[in-house]
Amino acid sequence: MVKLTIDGRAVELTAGATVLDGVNRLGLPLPQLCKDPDRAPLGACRTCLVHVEGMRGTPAACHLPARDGMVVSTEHPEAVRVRSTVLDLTLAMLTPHAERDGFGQLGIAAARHGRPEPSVAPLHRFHVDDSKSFFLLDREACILCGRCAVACGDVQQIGAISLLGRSHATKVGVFGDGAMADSVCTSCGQCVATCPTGALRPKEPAATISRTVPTTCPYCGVGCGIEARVTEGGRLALMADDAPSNKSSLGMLCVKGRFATGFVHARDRVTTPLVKREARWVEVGWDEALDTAADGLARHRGAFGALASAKATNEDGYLVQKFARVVMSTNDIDHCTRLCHSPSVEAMLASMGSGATSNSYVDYEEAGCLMVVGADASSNHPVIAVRFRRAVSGGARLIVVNPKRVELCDQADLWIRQRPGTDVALFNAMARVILDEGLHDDAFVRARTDGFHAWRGSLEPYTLAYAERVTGVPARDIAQAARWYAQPPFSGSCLIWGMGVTQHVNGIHNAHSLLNLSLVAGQLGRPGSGISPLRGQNNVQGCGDAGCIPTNLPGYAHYVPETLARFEQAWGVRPPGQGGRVVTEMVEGCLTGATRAMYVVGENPLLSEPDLHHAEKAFGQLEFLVVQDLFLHETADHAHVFLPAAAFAEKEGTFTNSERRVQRVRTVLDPPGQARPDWWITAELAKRVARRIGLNVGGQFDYEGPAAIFDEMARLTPFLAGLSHARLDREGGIQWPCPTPDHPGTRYLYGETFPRGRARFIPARQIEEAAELPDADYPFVLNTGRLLYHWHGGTLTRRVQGLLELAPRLEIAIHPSDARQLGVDTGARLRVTSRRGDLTGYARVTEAVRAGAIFVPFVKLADSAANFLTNSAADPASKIPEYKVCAVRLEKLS
Amino acid sequence: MTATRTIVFSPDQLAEVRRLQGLYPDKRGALLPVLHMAQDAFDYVSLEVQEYVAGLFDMAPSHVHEVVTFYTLYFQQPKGRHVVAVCHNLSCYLAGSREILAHVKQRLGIGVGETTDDGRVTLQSVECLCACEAAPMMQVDDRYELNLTPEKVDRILGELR
Repeated sequence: MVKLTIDGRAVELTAGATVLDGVNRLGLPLPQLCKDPDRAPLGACRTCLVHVEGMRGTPAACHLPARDGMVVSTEHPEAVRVRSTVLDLTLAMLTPHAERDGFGQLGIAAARHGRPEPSVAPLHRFHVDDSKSFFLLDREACILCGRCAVACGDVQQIGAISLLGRSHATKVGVFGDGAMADSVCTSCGQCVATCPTGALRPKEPAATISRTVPTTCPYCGVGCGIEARVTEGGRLALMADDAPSNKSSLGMLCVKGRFATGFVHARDRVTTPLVKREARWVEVGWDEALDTAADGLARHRGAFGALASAKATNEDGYLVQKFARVVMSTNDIDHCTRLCHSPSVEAMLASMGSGATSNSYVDYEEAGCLMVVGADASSNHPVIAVRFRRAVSGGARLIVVNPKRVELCDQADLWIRQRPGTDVALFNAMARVILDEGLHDDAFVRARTDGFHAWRGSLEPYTLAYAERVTGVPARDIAQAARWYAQPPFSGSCLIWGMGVTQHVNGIHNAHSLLNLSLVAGQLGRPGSGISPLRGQNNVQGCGDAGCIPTNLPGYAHYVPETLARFEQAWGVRPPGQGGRVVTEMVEGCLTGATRAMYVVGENPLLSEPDLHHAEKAFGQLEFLVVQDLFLHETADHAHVFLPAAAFAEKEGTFTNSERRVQRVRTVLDPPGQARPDWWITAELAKRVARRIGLNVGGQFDYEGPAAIFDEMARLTPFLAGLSHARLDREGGIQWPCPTPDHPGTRYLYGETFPRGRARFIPARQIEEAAELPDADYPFVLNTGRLLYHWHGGTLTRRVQGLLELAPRLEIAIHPSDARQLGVDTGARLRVTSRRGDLTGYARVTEAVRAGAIFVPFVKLADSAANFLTNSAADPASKIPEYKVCAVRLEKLS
Repeated sequence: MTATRTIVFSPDQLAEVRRLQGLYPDKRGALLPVLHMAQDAFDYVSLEVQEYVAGLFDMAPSHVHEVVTFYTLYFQQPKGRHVVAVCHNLSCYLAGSREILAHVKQRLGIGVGETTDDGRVTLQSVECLCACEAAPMMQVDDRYELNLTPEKVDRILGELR
């Protein structure tokens, strides 16, 4: 600790702190234009000048180490005089007509120093770059402090912008000095958030911010903290602030978290309950809507299925499954995990006994090797991709395994471009290399695993020569990947995977072959290592934890007598004792009569199911459908009752992210019109159905609010038992397992043991590459996935104008050789047809895809959606559909 | 100078890049000499060259661009056979560099940053070259020309072929 005096006040600082830290601790109004509170000092603006007794000149406080006994003054006449001149010259960098209001810190500092206007004329004027959709770069308001370049280069590791030129011609610009829109900028807005003068500012009329509310981003499974800003008009501002104290996102956001929460204000939000009469929606009150819904659902008890929402809160999900199990007496409850990571979860449950990511994001930055398989993190988990890039900057090896050239390939040490569907051959061959070269972790295998010898025997056919032939990857690359993964240059290795592994008919084999690699190399259960299925939705982890899966009760409890008794005691009703149907089976059941009524909360299966024409037909057969959501989407068109729900910004609760961190979601705004939080709607519906079927549920669905629901869930879920809303409010997000109120949460799993005791090697076989392979009629392979600028099917992001500007139309990525044969250039209209449907889009000629393959994101734009084409053939074990491969043909349209 | 030349270093040049990078605790320390190598190899550092060099350093191309635009000795366009760089900083300015620069422009018929039609001379206006004692001055290729007068400039420019 060091003690010093600033402006006559004593302050104590930790060693290594700067004088500016002391100034800020005391809350003194010293300008500090280039200092981002959360970043290292730049020392560029020279406005934090102070006087120090016994020291010559006026040093910059941000770069001055605090020392014992220092006597510092921010008000010394000499410091004020020099600082005032610096501010005068800084002001002169701005053009006189520029709006002074927006200059934030500079305007305030200048006024305080009696410098409302500069005394000299500005030297240069630069044009405004308004090429980006959400924000602009107004160089006339720029003071060249460099904070934006640091935010872009060091924080987000994008490096789109830098300071170009020198001397008075210096300016903020991009590579080649073109428009920002033509650069590698990803619109994350980190630069906008840090700009001290508003030179980088959102494109929206200036509005006074009345308050900010810390909450959690509603988009992907990374779970970034956002500070929602509310204008005086009671709307969310275009831009949200990042949350530096958030332990998952560390103050980073992507374009969607920062700029795309405006969907809550979409003009077509449904704000009144609706009942369909004579094929038309009629606005009704809540009582009528809930009664109608309850009548219909009570009638079809026994042929009912529920879909919970991985976009809603844990509390919302918990109530949906409780309604299904307690009132509807069924385990036919599922959510979208079936369509993304069910093979990962099933495989991890079988092999280890838990289905969650074992490590934390911080482990990616500490690892010596990252192997990223079938995941386009730059598009789908942008803030995790930043942490990958930081790891690479720190010297970690990055291995990207992907048939498609994803953006991460730019940073990769090794890109393995296997033929689609040949993952098992690849990973089994890697395992053989690890064993043949003695790179495995013998002690770990002996002490912590079962089934090693049988598994080792199963690898016999997977020689490098075989793998090279099947996968098309050079043998030396396979061997190199194996060596790096098993023995990274330092620390451990993280294995990270996405939908490219799971959305295949052989999804569970793929997952097992990956898990086996982690076991044989002993790369889990310690810092810097681990296994990570990157979770898609913001709360897909929590939705499963809360029990919205047919295979397990909340907390992954099994259907065994003692647990059923425990839940019966808590709920007053014994839940059914055998597993229920998964979503794809419920949808099939619509056609056979096994499903006659459904309750679909916050999901749009008629955009996310494979083979949409078939799914539409199935939903059309339902006798009764209740949809609870924000918008009248494709699935809602088939509904009989529509219950308008509150959006993420309009309710209390928690989301659990991909690193098992439970984080608070808070009420930022009141719900519009009559929209209500999901948990309230579900509880009301449950009570009304119970009444109709004569089931006494007592006070089981009477809650004071989400905090009480969370408490009930935590009581029933040992790994959440130490958590409560109050604790999360106090301490911020906490990672489960957290069994007691004094437990700090868990950074990584499997340090000592596995939930099933010893982990199990489960042999994986290379079976057929895909259910549907190209042939003469359908010669191309269609691969689907997501985009940075749209969220999944686009139900939310199509309602954000700035995102539509960034990605306005459906693009079909096609290899140059195929484009030549078809005679198309980038921008040409194409029709893509599979055995199940067709779509039209626009060619984007790129070597990112292999010859013979095309890539279409599954967002729906202009009525075209990839899932009209995809194949519902599924992995027999996990029931995940094969979204990643189907056969199509292409036609050029005029 | 060929517009279609492939931007790739030879194996020998790549070995030199690796040697230079090895001289520094952070290989980015070798960026300046490698950019000079690139300029010698490809005549000027086009955007394509900058991207190529960025790849050799695992840097964002914009950061290489920042360096290239900061220094006057890197040329982003094809340059003439000779480069004339007139100092415009304080000492030279007070000693009449404005007139010297105007004279050079008029004699060559080009502006700052331009190259004569015959490809003979590229003209630059640059920051201090540390020869204030002999202001006004300019640098012609690798030589300093000191204590300039219009007549001396005429003679120097006349000797450039």
